[in-house]
Amino acid sequence: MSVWGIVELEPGEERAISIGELDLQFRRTAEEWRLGLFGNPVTAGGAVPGWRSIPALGNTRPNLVPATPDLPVVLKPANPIALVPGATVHYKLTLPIWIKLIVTGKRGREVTTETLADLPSHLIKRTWFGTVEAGEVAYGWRFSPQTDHANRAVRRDEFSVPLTIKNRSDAVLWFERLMLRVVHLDLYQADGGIVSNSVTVNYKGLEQYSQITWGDGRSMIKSGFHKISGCREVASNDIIRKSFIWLRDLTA
Amino acid sequence: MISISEAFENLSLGSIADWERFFLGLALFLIGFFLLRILARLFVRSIARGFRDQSRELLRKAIVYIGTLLLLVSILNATGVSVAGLLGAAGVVGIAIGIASQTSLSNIISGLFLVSERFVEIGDVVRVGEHTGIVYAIDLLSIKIRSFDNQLLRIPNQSLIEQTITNITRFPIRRLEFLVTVPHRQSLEASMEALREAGNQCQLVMEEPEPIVIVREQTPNGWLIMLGVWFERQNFVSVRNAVSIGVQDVFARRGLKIQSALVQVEQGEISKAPRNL
Repeated sequence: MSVWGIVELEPGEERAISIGELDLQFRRTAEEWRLGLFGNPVTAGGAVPGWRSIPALGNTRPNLVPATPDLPVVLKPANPIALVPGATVHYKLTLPIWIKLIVTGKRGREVTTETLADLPSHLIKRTWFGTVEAGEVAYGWRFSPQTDHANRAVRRDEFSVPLTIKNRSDAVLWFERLMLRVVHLDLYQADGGIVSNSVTVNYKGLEQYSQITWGDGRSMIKSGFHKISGCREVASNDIIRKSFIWLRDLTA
Repeated sequence: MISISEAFENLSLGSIADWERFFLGLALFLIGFFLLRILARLFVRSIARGFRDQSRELLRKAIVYIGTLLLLVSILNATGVSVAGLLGAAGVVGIAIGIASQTSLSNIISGLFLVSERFVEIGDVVRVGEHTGIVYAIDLLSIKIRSFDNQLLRIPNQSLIEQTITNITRFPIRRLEFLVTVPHRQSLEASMEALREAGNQCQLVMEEPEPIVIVREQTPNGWLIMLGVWFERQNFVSVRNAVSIGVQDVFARRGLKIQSALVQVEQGEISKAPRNL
């Protein structure tokens, strides 16, 4: 049974949901919804563990929506992987899922939504990507290379990312870490769990930027998956905007 | 019956035309000054939007001051007042004020250097001498710092130029150092491993750059070991507390000791001094 979607409870009913290390409890009384957030990830997500009350006005109901991590993820294989020139590898990575607790209601005919909490299913350590003067905070994630032929079912506290790495350069690519901007990924519900659109990395050599392509998800929908959650941030391919950013960085 | 113009002439206050020009000039100046302030604010909001707070404020003030001066000269000219004489007088007054306000001028020039250096910005946490706090305002004469116990400190720019300023939050990540002394007889390797674990088990400590453990020196009380952990600057207090607790926990769990200052007390009889020399 899927844990995602609107929580439907009658007055007097209650329901507990565990996703990874996160424990969620829902109680419905005649007057209000009581929402309990417990577990270590609550504090890590910037919230306070405990109960919250929401007046049960109109059509107010809690809604659980899966989401990608709120920061990029730096992927580190258990051991460095050497990709010879021209090689292409496919991985099926599994990353911890984030849970958005949204309250939906109605204002007239308009459906309103308000995010109450945005929490990880597991505690993940943060890491730094870049130099100590300039860089970016990300989540660090070690993975064991597991090809996409492996048929392990994706648990409900994780989602899988189909990742393809192509070495288009003339030299061996030592794949030691990769920063994956998961905020650009959509999530789809499949029979085997939640899966994101694919990511393809084209490595062109040390002197050139690697090209990263995000799958648009049409093939996923054609395969019978349905979109369960949109990306946190739309990836921009706008060349004019990129040029301005490049100029700004150059002159900063 | 005496007319108003005659009354003014009798009072030696000039003709009514002079007063009309004076009030007209004053009204024009006030309207112009009001418009100038609006224009300066609009300019700063639109064109200088990407600038830093202190640069915007400086630019706004420069527009207002220079604009006011130009406005004043234009209005005086238009109302028939000789500007040349005024400028000459202003030069003499300017020199007098300059001599009398050397410190202020020095502060202004120091302030310009500080702003152009871009070493501190509004919102940075800085340490100046014994004072630590958040930069609250950067003005022409001074920098205002709000201390963590919510006091407002004013530090003259001239004094800032002459001393060391530490910008604690300039970079997004920082390293925090913990110094632990362990007894001489205790295994250094085990102590270092325990410190590494204490650093790694804190969720707010970054995975990379990795925590570093260094044997600093041998002191009379034991080995001094340093644990350095990297964290996001906003987590300073949480990391300090969590890692300190972690070090204590890990050492206790592993049966290791943390050495405090060694005070040796020996019990025995005090030898009596001979009474007769």
